[in-house]
Amino acid sequence: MSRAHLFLFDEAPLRNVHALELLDAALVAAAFDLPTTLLFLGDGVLQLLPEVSPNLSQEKAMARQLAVLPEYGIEQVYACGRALDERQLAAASLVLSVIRLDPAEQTALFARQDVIIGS
Amino acid sequence: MASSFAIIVQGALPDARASLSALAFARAAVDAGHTVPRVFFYHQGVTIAARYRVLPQDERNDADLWLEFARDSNCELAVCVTAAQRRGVIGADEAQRYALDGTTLRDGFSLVGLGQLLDMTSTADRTVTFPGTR
Repeated sequence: MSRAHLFLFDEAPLRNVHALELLDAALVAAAFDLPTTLLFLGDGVLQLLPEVSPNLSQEKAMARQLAVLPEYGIEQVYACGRALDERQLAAASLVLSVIRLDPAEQTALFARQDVIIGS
Repeated sequence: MASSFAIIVQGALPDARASLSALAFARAAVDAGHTVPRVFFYHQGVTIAARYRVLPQDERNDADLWLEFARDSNCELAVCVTAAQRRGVIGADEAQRYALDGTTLRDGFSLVGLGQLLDMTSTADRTVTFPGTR
């Protein structure tokens, strides 16, 4: 049985490597052909900005990692519309196209999942 | 009806209490007749598997408590190998691969890949995550 997995990204970039580590798990889920969905919410929407690049430590930039999602068959990436608006982030400024969800739609998204993993 | 639980632990003492909250949950689940076949330590939670980790004598070591639970409940203590090596928790294979002069993984914990995380969430009835520090 292929269980639907949702990965929640709600931590700001550069504070720690949690988002990069969680993205690794999401990519493995997709590689296992599990239905895999990503949702960015709260400060996590800042992960979607292209300018975030950790120069000093040379960690992988999240933007570059997110670019491989289509190769893994992850086509649906969601973001909390309110979190984007609060941070004045326009869809065009993000590294990939995301589907905006209001709170009710996020609840519906959660209800469709078998497994939800945050960081 | 008895269920099986997949538990993800993302923090450990002294920086987070996730390991203790997860342990309390796991014990309660087993006491109620459920099973916890595997616990997956991820993010900062992997530091629980560090062998050289000394807590003050009057404090219980969360690793000791988990090892006791694992023994009594037949639970596998799985640790994400990538997250662990990032944080200095090194097993024999990694020590050899990176030419390090020793290992730091505590006996009783196993270093595994992320495939084991998804195997766990795909087979258990329910998954519960205990987040660490943010």
